[in-house]
Amino acid sequence: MSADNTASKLLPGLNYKYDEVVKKDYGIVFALPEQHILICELFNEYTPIEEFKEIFRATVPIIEKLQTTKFIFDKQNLRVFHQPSMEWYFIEWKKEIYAKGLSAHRKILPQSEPAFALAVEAGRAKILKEFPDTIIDKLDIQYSTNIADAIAK
Amino acid sequence: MTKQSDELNSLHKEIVILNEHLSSQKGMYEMTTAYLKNIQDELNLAKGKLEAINKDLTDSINYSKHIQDAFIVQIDKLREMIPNSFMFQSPKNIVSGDFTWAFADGEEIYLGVGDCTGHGVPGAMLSIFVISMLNEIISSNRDYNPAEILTHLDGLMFKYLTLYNATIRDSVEIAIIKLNLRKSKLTFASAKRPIVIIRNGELTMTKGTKYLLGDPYKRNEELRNFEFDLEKGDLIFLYSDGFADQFGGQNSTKFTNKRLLELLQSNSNLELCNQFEEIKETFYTHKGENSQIDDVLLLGFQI
Repeated sequence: MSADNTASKLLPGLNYKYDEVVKKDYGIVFALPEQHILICELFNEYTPIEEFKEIFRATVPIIEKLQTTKFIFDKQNLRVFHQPSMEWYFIEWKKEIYAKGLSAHRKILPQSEPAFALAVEAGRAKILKEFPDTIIDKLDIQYSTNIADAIAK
Repeated sequence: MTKQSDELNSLHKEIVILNEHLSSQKGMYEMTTAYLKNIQDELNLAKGKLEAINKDLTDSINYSKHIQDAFIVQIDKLREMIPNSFMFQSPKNIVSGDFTWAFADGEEIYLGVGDCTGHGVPGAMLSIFVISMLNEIISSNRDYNPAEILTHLDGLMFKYLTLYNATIRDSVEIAIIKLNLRKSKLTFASAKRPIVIIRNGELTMTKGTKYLLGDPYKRNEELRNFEFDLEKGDLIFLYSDGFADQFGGQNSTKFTNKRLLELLQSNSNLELCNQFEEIKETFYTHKGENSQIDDVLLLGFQI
């Protein structure tokens, strides 16, 4: 069952011009061209790593084309945190898009899911320990509770 | 056949994803558990270090108490000079800013009850300094009266406590008496601490001079001696402000100086050892579960 206040449900009610730029079985990506923002929402509790990579790889040329400066990752439907996917996302994908000028990341975690939030913290600690050369300290990463806040801040 | 094969492939794919899902879920919990265990291990390590530091500090302070005790007059020494006497002491911490000082020269007994600002280690350090200065003063001239002793102490405190560090604002409230039991004479001088004398149930309190030792800018009066002719049975009390200032009772209010005087007066018909027990019990009953806010020292004796 998908969460109630995900990007795909709330974006139509917000006063932004947006386009659907990627749509796959496991997720969707919206672009707010005027704000130079991309929003990625995953649909299910769990996303297999190849499908995960497929969605994120598809964002790379769009990020470049739209001169995207902020990426919002809406994880509200997720319940299973897959560490290998996150490692790839942190180490490879973020590094690739950082080189294209994108350093602002906003994340929306599932509401009332402390186990998931704790897993995110644990995964992040593991990545920092195992990959000390990550670019994470160069990024502006902030958590938001809803899509409007993530767009605004 | 092809349709069946497609369905089987689709089913197989679903099972693979489901397996992956379950395996990822297991991995997520294992990773989180390991992370929490790591935090717990770090906390246990930090707790162990803090306990070791705390033990070192406590051992060190306990040892400093032995040093402070060597400077402060203990009850057995006091009773060699004044047999019918007691001391109620309740330090807030291991070491105290409240202290007693005594010196006997023939039939003249000098006795002081001091209350250094603050408590704990800083108060104790200051108390040792003050006691050392008092010993130095009385050794230089054994004819000094209490006001002269305090005047010299004032000069030495100003000299030493401001010599290297002008920011020291600590001082001591202290009452000093010179007692001659044979002649039944008592001379009292004090910076801020009072003396209480009870004769046949009648209480007289003489306040200390409003005088901050070591600070020439904070004094309203000159130090002076008060002379008393004592009679057999007279009770004399010297004390710090810790007892009266202690919060407690039903409304968690200060005990107050007024109640302390009433307590001393109402017990004055008892044997001195029983007065001590009453004073001690009253303090701890009043304090109850409240934290002690300051050091407490109350010294009493009977002629």
